[in-house]
Amino acid sequence: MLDFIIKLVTIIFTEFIHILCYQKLTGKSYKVNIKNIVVLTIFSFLTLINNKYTPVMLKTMCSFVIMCFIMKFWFNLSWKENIKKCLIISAFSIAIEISLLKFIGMVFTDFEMLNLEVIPKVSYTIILGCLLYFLFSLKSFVPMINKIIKFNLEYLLLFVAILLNALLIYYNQNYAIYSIGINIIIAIIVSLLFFITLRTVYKYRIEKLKISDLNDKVNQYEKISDDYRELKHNLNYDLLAIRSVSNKRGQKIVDQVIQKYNRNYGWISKLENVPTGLQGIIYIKLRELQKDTLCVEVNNKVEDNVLNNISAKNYYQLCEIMGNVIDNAIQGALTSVDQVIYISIEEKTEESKELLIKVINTFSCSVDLDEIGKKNYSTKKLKSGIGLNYLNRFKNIKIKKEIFNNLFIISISVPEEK
Amino acid sequence: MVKVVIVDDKLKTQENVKEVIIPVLKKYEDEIDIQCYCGYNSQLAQEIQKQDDKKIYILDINLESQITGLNIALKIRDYDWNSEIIFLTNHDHYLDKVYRNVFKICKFIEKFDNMNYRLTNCIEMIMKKKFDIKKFHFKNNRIEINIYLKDILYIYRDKEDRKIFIETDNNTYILNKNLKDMFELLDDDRFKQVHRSCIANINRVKNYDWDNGNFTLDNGKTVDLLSSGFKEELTC
Repeated sequence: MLDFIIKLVTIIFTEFIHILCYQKLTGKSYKVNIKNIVVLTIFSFLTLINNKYTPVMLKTMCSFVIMCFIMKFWFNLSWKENIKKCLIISAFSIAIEISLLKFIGMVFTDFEMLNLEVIPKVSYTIILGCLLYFLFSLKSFVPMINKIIKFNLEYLLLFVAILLNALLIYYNQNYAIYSIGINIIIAIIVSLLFFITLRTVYKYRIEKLKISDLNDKVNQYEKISDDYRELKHNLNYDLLAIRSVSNKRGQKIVDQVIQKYNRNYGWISKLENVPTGLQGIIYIKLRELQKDTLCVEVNNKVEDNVLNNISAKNYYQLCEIMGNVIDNAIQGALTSVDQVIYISIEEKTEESKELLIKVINTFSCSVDLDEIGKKNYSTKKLKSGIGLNYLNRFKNIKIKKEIFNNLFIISISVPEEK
Repeated sequence: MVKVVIVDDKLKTQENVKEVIIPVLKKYEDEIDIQCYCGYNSQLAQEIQKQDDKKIYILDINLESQITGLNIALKIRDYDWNSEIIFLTNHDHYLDKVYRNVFKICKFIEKFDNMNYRLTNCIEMIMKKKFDIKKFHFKNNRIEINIYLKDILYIYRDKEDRKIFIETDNNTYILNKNLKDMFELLDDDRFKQVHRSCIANINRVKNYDWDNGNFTLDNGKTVDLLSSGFKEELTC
């Protein structure tokens, strides 16, 4: 009975270490409540049964499945994300275990006896757990792992995990020839690092080229708009000179021509005056609205630098989304009598830090609730129908669409990185 | 019971508002709970999170803190779209249109322009509405919709499209359902079937013309979906 309790407590400790590592990996917080503790205890008990009765080849796989279920209850991520994270923890757990076994193999010759005694086995498990937690606590470790995940290398991870599992089983049964296994592990890790480095360098080069090209285009545009301004300036003077020697009919024609060429685009002819990024998009949209009868209110409750907390990819996608959403809001508001748009930008810090943007507009039209958001569906007269469907492609950013009476509300939620 | 939450940094204004609203409220409710705050604090935050059925907020826009009356209104609407909000302000109506529409602000009342009379009328109007906050709720994987039942004029099934059309004051919503499903979703006595393919909100119908087979709504619109077969049920 005492053995049983000690083993159960040890397993609970190990699973809790896994939970802490999972928390470090995801940045998501967990709640220590009765439900979660009961779940942990039950699944730890299942792990104990698994360790005792499951065949050796299936033991690690079953432990992995149990860990997935525990993490699902504690953190409630999607199954795909959950399995990815559990794979990472399992892979490193097994890697540390193999290394530790090698060390123990050098010290203890009678390894099998060690495995049978409760106290040594418990001590070994505790040491393993502490090493794993220490690894995940290292400052640069989790960012490096997140980079691996970004490259969608989870299938490679799965292969590595299965290979390590096989090695562990092989090693447990033939611990005298452990050096082969260690060599294979080192080879895999080095190959992985090499592959990641190559990809990172390649991607960086491509991004640099893209930015350089974009800068060139901006410079060209500014040059062209400067030339245009000068041309318009001279044209106005020439037209006025012609007007001064024209008869009445000629003067009227010249006045019309001057009006035609003097539409006010001055505010956008100098790009350096336009704020960058998200603020720039909102600025441009609002400036365009000045000639309309729309009533717009922007409530920005965040500092400019908070946008630095968002990853580059998410920021770029957010700018795309906002351009789209504001265009839709404008089209919607123009259909209504009140013609109101409200944009709010704030930071939520309740469960995890995120930027929350709401765009609310009045609207007055016919909406098919089963078709809205589908491709080729539009409530607009011109039937462009791309806008809301376009928002479906953004997976990292949560977009929620609601109708509340005559208000169309789009809530955009962007996770902030630490 | 009706709950009134007054947020104003001047105690004199709080007392004045209380004096104005209590006689009006007593005409409609026996139990009145009035709470006063000088600004946004933890107690007000807790109060905002409580989902009471009948609640009126009277907020001063200019408060002596970073969190203004407008910010408080936004926080209220994060949790609660059913309460009525009245603003007391020294400003002009610049903010009126946006906040009235977007945050369902009942009224902006200037403090120096006949405040007592206007506040009394506003409270009367709110109490007469009887906090009719029942909503029609529908959700699919693309969108979520909430419409106040009081704003639904009538619902009909189009034979050609074979879809349900929900007509409100400003919009038409189209759903792939049938009338029987709509009755279950609406679950309110104000909706009665007036035609084989039409349900009307009887609170919004001004007149039934059984001879010509149409009914007239309170906004003046006439709808040709009235069948004498449903007259008996309607007049019961």
